[in-house]
Amino acid sequence: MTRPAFDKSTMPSRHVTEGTFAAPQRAFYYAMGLEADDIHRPLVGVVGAWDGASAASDAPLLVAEAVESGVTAGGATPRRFATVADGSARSLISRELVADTVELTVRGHSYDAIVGVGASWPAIAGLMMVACRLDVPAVIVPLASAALGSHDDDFALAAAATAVGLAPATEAGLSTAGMLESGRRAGRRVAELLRAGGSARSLVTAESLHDGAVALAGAGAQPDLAAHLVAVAAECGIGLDLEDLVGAMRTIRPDIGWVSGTLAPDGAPVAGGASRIRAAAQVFDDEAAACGWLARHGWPSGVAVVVRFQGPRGGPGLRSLDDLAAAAATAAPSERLLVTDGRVPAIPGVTAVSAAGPEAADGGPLALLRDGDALELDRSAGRIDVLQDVSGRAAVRAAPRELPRSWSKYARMVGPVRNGAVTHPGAGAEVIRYADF
Amino acid sequence: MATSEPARIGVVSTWNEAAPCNIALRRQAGAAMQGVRSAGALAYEFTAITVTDGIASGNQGMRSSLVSRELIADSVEHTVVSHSYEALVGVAGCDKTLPGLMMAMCRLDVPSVFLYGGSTVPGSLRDRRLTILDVAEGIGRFTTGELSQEELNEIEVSACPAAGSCPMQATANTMACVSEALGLALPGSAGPPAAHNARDRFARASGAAAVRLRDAGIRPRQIVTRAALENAAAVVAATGGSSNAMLHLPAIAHECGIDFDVFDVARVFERTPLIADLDPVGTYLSVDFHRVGGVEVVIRMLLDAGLMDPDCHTVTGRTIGENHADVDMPDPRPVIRMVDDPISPCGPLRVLRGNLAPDGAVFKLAHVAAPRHRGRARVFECEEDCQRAVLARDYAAGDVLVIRNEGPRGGPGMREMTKTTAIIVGQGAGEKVAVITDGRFSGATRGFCVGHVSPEAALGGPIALVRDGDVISIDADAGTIDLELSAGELQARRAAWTPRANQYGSGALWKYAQTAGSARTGAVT
Repeated sequence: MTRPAFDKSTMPSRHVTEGTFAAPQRAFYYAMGLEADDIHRPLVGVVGAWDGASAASDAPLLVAEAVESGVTAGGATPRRFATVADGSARSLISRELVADTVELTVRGHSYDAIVGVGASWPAIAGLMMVACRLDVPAVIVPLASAALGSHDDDFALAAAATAVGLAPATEAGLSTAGMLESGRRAGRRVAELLRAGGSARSLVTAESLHDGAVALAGAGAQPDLAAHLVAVAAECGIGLDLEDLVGAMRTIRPDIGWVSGTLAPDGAPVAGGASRIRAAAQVFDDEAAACGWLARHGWPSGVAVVVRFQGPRGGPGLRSLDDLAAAAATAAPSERLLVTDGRVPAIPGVTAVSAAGPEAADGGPLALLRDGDALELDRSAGRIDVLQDVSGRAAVRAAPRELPRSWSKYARMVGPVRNGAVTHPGAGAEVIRYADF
Repeated sequence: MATSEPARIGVVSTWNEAAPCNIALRRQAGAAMQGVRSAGALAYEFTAITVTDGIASGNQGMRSSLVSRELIADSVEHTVVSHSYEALVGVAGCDKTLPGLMMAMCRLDVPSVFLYGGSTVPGSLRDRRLTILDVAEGIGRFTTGELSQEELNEIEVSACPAAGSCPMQATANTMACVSEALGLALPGSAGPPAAHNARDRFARASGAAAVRLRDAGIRPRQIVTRAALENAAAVVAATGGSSNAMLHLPAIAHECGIDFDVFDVARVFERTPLIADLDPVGTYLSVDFHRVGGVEVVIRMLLDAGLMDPDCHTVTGRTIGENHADVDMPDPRPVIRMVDDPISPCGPLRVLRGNLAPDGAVFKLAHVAAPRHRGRARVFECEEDCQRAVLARDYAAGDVLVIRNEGPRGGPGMREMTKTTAIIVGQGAGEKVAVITDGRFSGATRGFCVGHVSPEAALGGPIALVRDGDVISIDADAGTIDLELSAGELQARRAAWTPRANQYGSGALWKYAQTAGSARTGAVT
């Protein structure tokens, strides 16, 4: 048995590789072809948010293989695994599943560090969250690339991961060779972090999260995307909310702001060109109904489209109104107001109040709204209001529907977008840090 | 069907590099995809995670094990729904991955075929066969001075020579037998070791079967009925399977909307003889079992004896009786005994009930000479506290060691108390003290052990009210477990009881602790 090259005396993997009581675990490592030297090195969990459904979701496992060679070159021992890619859902439910499954894999096998490879924004966000939740040395490798058909939000979140300090600087439009090289570099980098003792929470600060929000803004993201950085903050125990980060985005994007008022007492990000709009609400409980109405009526002047029950709990998963954006673009509006508790891509001519809280599914004022109610957005005053007194009304409930069980579990646990739409209390309530067990 | 789009079939494995149990599964997933394609459909591969108990054992990692079963089911469901896959093939290697995938199949109720990844082959050292259990026992023999460090190292390096799950009737092989008995897996698919080429054949056939089931519209809930669950419980009893089946069968039932709890499993155990002499309850390894025909032979024998329902549907499109009508029946003794000459007349697990466990507790009959114990309680608030006392031999003959706050919510995650019981057995006290807990034990646990005590301490179950010196009596023949206290005293203690905080205020384990149900019904979320 050679002397370990790293000091394993405080590393989680000492529980499964060192001492007489770890003999059964070592027997398992020998069964996988490891040798004694490999076993006594730090164990690095290398995860690809992967599935075989598309080129974009397939790439992370290939890159994870390159990460493994970098980890080995750095003197540590990689153990590869995979978890859900976003699939076609582009949902916050994917984000939570990525974080939770990686957490359990790392805890279950006492890995000392993580390299996470993801191509979609839910995967990148989930990997950032779990790195901070476990607070081990971690490197995220975001694979946003035109060659993979990446979405604008994927590029934006990749840039934010770099600005936050969890991902190496990336070049947009990475070739396959470039992706593999960045994987190898990430593997070597995590080995350096293991030697130097730099864990995820030592990299992520309130300042770096502000930098991340600015990077999102620079990449053209809608302001609600910063909710992922709020979730990362919660995993670190850093007390900031979406309003703070939207403020950071505003420093380089004057089209972005924050409003609150009788329609959204907990506030909402706003994006678009109009500074003041008064319009009558046309209220929809699902996106398809809104699209149908727009197809029949266009988007008349003086009408504010409201799409509710799209929030973290109502969607569930903070649905992005992509179909509505396409339908609205056809209607070629100007100076129109859109209000939703979901997400909205940028729509030319539309000023959008998104992720409005409390969401309709929680009985917020959105659930009290009726067709024809007068809404007023006044950005100089920072307000979004319903001008009628709606307080005496009963909240509308979404039509009951059968959800996949994992989705209904999510909907039960999830919190408001303002606080990152997280599903657990975060580092503030942590009793023992994973690495301290 | 020539004009229609080809069906889109998901192929999920629990491949990863955490442990030998799952590391070779992608080859089988690849063969399953070949099978799907050869049947004219499109195959899409994905994975779910694993937490391997063999790595997690004896440390904080064990709390993640049972929780992983829920996230495996949830993540598979999410992927299949998101991609609208029309059928599913699931390949799993060990521990919670088998029930996790079967739960996902039943929850989604899309046409599905399950495939076990196969067990490893035993290792050898100077003509002696070795398994992972020899390593665990070797630790005990090393601490008593019976083995040298070099000898223990030799065993450690030689015990597990290849990919595959533990080669005995532990949780993986137990649940693999369940997959055939339930009808969710092709007959015979549980048996071949991971390294055998026969697995590729079963994988291709499983892929093709999934396409046929999709075309025929045959869904898991038509297969997993109450009768099928009883069939599965019978096979667990007859093969001396893992006590973890007491959790997983109710959990699978729950996904089908069937109330089938630990007492329902126990009733099947009472009427089913133990006929397969398999390690760790008995003698023989999985390779021996496979050589004499394996679970197909056990099923055929139980069917012939009227102990299983022959009319349950299966993934072959035929009934389980039809599937096993032509099973080769060479004399399988001594690995499998005859139904009329069993090892014991009942399965080797009992479910007890009494004022200490109104919702049941699981007792392991195997290796216990006298299934009765009455003694004074020594209470420990977690496994580590008990382990410390045991290492210091701070207990007396007759004691009942109570380890609580280790249930589904309390642990959280219902850890296995295997390490503590192994030390007690190593100290030669396995028959002298009883260990009772709201946590679990592994298939390898020996000694006088009662687990799954429900309701658990974290929910204020009676086990939370026990104090040092209380008298506890256990009688497995009568099926009782009682705390010898008056109802009034229990009431008074309950009024004064406050829950004990666990070490998880955040994260996936915290989430599980908010929602997990009783071990009686599978500790599901």
